[in-house]
Amino acid sequence: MTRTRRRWRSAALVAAIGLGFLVAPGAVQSASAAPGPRPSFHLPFPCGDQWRLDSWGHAPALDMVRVPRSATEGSVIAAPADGVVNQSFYHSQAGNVIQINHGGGWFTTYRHMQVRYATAGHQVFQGQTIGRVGHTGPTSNGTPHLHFELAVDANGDGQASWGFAGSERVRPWFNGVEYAQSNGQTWLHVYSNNCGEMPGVASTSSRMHVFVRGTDRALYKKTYAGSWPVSWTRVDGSVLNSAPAAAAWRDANGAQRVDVFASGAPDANGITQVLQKTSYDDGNTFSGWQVIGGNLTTQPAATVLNGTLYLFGRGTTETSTAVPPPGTTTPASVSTATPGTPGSGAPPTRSTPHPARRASATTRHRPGTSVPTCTPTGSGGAVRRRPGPVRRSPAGAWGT
Amino acid sequence: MGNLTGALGIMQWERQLRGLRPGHRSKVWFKWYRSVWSNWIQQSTLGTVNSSVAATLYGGNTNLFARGPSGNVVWSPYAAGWQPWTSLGGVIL
Repeated sequence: MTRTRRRWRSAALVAAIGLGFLVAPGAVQSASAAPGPRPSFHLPFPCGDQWRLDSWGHAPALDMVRVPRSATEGSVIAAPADGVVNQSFYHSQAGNVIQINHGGGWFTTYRHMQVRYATAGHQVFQGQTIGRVGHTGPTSNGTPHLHFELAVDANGDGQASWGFAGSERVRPWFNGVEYAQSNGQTWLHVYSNNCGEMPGVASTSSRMHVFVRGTDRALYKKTYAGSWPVSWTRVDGSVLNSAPAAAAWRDANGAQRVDVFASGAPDANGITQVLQKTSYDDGNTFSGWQVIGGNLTTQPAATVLNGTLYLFGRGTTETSTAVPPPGTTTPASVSTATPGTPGSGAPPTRSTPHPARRASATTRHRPGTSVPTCTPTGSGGAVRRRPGPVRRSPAGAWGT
Repeated sequence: MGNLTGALGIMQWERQLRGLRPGHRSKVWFKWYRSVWSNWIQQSTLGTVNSSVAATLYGGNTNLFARGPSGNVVWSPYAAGWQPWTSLGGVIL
């Protein structure tokens, strides 16, 4: 161990020198700009994976090894939030490095990667695989682990320095929990909630419908009637802000209907509106989106009881909305503001969906064409924190 | 059962309320309610998924849907036991 730490100290010194100019030399140092809101970061690993986090002697940077540790090498690294790859290269000390610009001055950096799957300029979505954990670069100490840093562009130069004390790195947050407040901390079992979206499903007596959000964030469906079609149907081109929920039911007027709900795209103030789309012909055709109000932060859930459809979701202004049957008045508490829908204009707003007014978008193709992406399904989660003893060594046993 | 990840999918089935969600190592767990709640039970026949699990009752049987490890949609009908996930293709968020 002593030899390991000495070797690490030397490597860390070299790394600090070597990484110190990762803010481009000569870059214009403009006045400090306040960062934007911190994105909702998830652990940079696939849904359900369990990891150990250590701040060692380099807080707020974290070293991450998988539980069990033997599974660390080659584990998938998933983008913790949407962003654009800012750097992707091999560094003589840090090995394979990727840095993602998440917007608003927020950056995440990954070191010692076994392999990089994204290059500079690539748009990445939350949950997208960007590489695998390895032990590249001498500062990895030959031990497979992921060295992770969250950074804020504090000086407003459009970049975020990393890899050394005094850089722009800050304490990381995952699922709303702050880590690495100080050196020598350990979190033994941290589960990734970097999960994909749950489909919305609804069944009538003759059909089973599945609704999903493609990587273009538009609504797609597949319908089972004895067999599954090969292709997904793009129901509507509007950009959605949540996965869809669906319900098949018979309303108070006796009409059999299939309803689909999702949050619309946020407006300039970040406010979203819940949207509703209805089919009266067992999912063959749907109305346009109807705004029913609410500002949910998650995918809604729908259920039916005695002819009334109930919608639930975690929200900021409204958590439950009873959807009126056709011909009734929209509840007074329901907002009629229109969310933005880039690329398709504002969706129609109607208080009483009618079978005669149906959406025409039925283009058939696979939902999305880019790499797999994920969207979180909530915050918090099962995280057990156990601060460990402060280690005198400036370095961790797994390198930097 | 350890810790759960992701949201909870709920359905009503034969007067039982069942909850399903991916849990430890992204396996599917479920429990049911019939006057009282059962313990959580892992569905060992189902592979790992990358999202919460949605369920619907169709033709008298439960059908499960989720996002597969590669971003595709996967489906498992209950027919004398949970069937292995079948891919419905696509790439979703």
